Amino acid sequence: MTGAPAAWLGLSWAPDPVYDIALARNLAAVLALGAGGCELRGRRAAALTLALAMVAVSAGFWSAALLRPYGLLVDSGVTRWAADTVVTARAGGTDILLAGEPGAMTPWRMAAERTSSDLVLAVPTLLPPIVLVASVLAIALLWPGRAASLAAMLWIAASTGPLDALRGVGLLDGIWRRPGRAIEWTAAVVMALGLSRLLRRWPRAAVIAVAIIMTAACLRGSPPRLGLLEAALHLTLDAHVWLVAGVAGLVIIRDPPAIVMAAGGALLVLASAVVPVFDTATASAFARLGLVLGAAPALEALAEGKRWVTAVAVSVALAGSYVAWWDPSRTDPVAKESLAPVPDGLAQATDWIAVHTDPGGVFIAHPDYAPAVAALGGRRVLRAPGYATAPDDERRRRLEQAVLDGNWPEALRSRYGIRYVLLAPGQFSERGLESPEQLAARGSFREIYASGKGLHVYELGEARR
Amino acid sequence: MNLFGADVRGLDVAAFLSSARLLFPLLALVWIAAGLKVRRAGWFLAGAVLANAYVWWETSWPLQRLYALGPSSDRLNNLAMTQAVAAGGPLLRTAQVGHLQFEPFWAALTAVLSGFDPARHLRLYAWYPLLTACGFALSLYAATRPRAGEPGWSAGERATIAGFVTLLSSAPMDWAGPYRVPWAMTFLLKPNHALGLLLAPWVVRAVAHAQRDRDRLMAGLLLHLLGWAFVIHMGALCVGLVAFAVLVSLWRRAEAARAWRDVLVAIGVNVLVVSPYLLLLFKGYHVFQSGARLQIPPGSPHLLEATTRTAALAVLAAGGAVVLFRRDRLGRVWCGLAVGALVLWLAYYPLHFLQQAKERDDVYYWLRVNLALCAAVGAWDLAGRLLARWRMATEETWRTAAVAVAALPFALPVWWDPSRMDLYFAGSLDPIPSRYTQVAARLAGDHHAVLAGDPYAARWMAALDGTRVLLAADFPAPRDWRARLEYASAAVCGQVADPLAAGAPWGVTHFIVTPAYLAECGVSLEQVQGLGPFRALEVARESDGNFVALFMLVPPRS
Repeated sequence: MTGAPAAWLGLSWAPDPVYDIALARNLAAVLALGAGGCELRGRRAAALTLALAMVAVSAGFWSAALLRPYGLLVDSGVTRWAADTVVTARAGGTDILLAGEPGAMTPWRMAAERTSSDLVLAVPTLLPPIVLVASVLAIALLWPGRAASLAAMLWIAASTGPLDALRGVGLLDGIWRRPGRAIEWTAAVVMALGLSRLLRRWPRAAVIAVAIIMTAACLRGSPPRLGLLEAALHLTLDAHVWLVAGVAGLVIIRDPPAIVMAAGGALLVLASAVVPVFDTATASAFARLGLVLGAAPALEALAEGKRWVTAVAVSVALAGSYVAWWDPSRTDPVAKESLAPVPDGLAQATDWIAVHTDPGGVFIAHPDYAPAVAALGGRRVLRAPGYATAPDDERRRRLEQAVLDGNWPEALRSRYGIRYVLLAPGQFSERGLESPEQLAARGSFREIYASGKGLHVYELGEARR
Repeated sequence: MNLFGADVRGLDVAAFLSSARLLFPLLALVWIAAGLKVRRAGWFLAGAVLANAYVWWETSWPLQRLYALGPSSDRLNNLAMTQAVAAGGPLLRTAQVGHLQFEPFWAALTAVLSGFDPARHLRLYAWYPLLTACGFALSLYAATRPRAGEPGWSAGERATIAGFVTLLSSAPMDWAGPYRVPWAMTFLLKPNHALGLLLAPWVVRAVAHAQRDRDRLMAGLLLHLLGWAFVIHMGALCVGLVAFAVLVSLWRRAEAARAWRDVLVAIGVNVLVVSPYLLLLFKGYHVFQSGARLQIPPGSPHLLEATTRTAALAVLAAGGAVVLFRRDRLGRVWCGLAVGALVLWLAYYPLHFLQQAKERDDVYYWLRVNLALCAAVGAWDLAGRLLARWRMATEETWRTAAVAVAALPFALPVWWDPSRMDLYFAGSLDPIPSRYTQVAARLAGDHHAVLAGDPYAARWMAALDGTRVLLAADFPAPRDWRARLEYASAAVCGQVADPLAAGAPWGVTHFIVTPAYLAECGVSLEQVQGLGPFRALEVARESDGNFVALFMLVPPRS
């Protein structure tokens, strides 16, 4: 059964977004102050550890609070992705959720085929803390700069600010919406910082490597997009203190890869406003990272050895950071709806389908439930209007009508592999079905499942003609 | 039509708001650059005032009705309370028969400003947010000016304070928090509360500069005026004054005796003069009523709301508070106000357990205003130090401009998006339902009418025209609320032979009914129309079938 993604982490409970969030935020604030305290004592490694714990608490809270994979049966794009992934893992083949419609084998589908579809479905939901922690560790461990750990802590605050979030290009808010992008970006950052370290004696080579990685990661642009003026305001106003401190720091340290990230990222953001081939949010994240790599040494220069200055900066940056106050239940309607579990009746029926029906058998289901049959039960469907439309949809629609009439052409039925019909009260009433039970009277249908919630599964027998 | 008489029915609201947000930073930068040429602090103050006006204009332009009229119960209530006075009713009475005013100063002021004309009051009300927001910035600038020969409080710093307090006391993600955006919730929604903010700087000034008994008396009288305007600000200011005296006792013992004398006299005079009003509040409102709703919201980390939610502002405020305390007496009073606001906020912890945590939102906004003031002083001080350290121009104009540019990204007009951040904006885009305006027009000018029937529709009439009503929805319930409810219900059901006579204790002359009210009473419109004592005056129907029907009561035929 596809339940709370946090179950994959071994959590048997989920935090309550209303009653537990205050505790989580208080804990995050304590960890942020603790990080500042460690910085004050000169224990930067300990400070970084506490900062990472703060990220895990703040972002992890919401990953754990979602009681269904982000957007499943809420957002059509996410649901379609989940359906394609799950049918690949459970029913095999290369068809998408629609029977007889082959689709590209994406990395997600391949991963589901080799591991577990439930795990793959859970991954995007669990990504926010993973992406942040991975990028923080990459900065701290791979960036050759002296203030790497400080930059890593500042990155937690700088990665997404409230102004970025309001403009729709915040890194944190985008992880759930574009998990593939988030993974690619994290990998690109790891590679760019790793190569910066490996090639530090050959700065030109490092610059070229970082530029290539960054440009490649920014290709294949997708929404959100900004206009040129808005992009310029994003790079300046939204970056505020990071812009000033970052530019000052980059002038001081003259670190070529960091400069390439800041300047190149900014150019790519501007370019993305004109040429949609570039991805605005990805480019923006690189630009911000470059600035943060400059801001850390600038802060150290400003502090002139007074540790209280960096300690205050770390505490304020972490405790007041967007991630510490992140509340997707208010800012993201899809996340808000994903806080509720999949309805019991539907979950029970699709669990039964997953266990008791032929993986190769195709379902006819009402558009309301077709995506659930695929995404939860792992069975392909004949039609799923609103999620996927086959080129021969009209023929499928006629076949669907014929099956519901109990009078189908056998050759066509077997061509699509239709074996089952899922029905709930009130569904297909436009096709003359007043109740699910009426179906049995229309042809050779055998009821193989009936739930207390009114869901019925029928298996097709011989047609009347 | 919007407030300015423009037809905005075809306006693309999203594009309009987006353009306004994009335009503001450019205008602000041009204004700041021009300020370097003009070299007058007044220029920057004007910029802060205009920025407030910009937010108000941006929010008001797309609206085809008064902001929040309908979507917000508070707005309807406040209009219903003040319209009763504007319509010529007694100063201490609201539209609900027998109900006492909560904020009589506001009711009197708005009635006078409207020339006792309810229609004009309705039109003018839309401008009060503008007046109070801009007025608060100007009030702060003027009330913090130093007396002749005294150092500190430069004009540039005071302009910075005016800008910070109005434009930076709200933060970009406040809309997702439990207390929403302070600027919108104070100035846009409750200009009556903002009136208290306008007065507060003058009370602070009066206390800080009090030297003779006459001055202290004047401070007390000003404080009492604040109480009539908005009693919570008066209470918060009293706590702040006590905090000032305590702080001075701890760290400036030589000044302690004078501080306590000034504070106690001011508060004492205030309590003496304002006590009738306090009695009125105790009498008319259930001040000590407790309940589960009167607790800190479970999802709100209470202490963090005041500190780390705006962490950078809080740190600047801490620095600014120290600077203020060290500066002069006026600074120490302002510092005391910030400390007092924080203490008041912390006091909600015990009140939470007593289920008495009332008016948290207003106290929160008060705290944010005081934090922003201290943060302005902290930012001004920090800018001075950094500019001096980097051997850059330390001239006041450059310092003011530097702080303005640094603060610009966080300024309200840069990120304000009412369609996303304001609960009442979307509901205010359409005109007031014609069924209400039609019936209100029928009632206009009849200041002797008292409406019974649907409390929701009755409140609309009170808000639109100042008509007095038997019961208004969401008003404090009168002692005889059950009798009023039963009377109205029985009359509509035809169970009262002479509703005019039976309603005489309250002066009921008219009835107003809606489909929901009739369904609640179990009768149809036709049945009511068939009742002898009910003479139909107006049945205003909408295209969706909704209606409001107005009846005049007449004596039954013998």
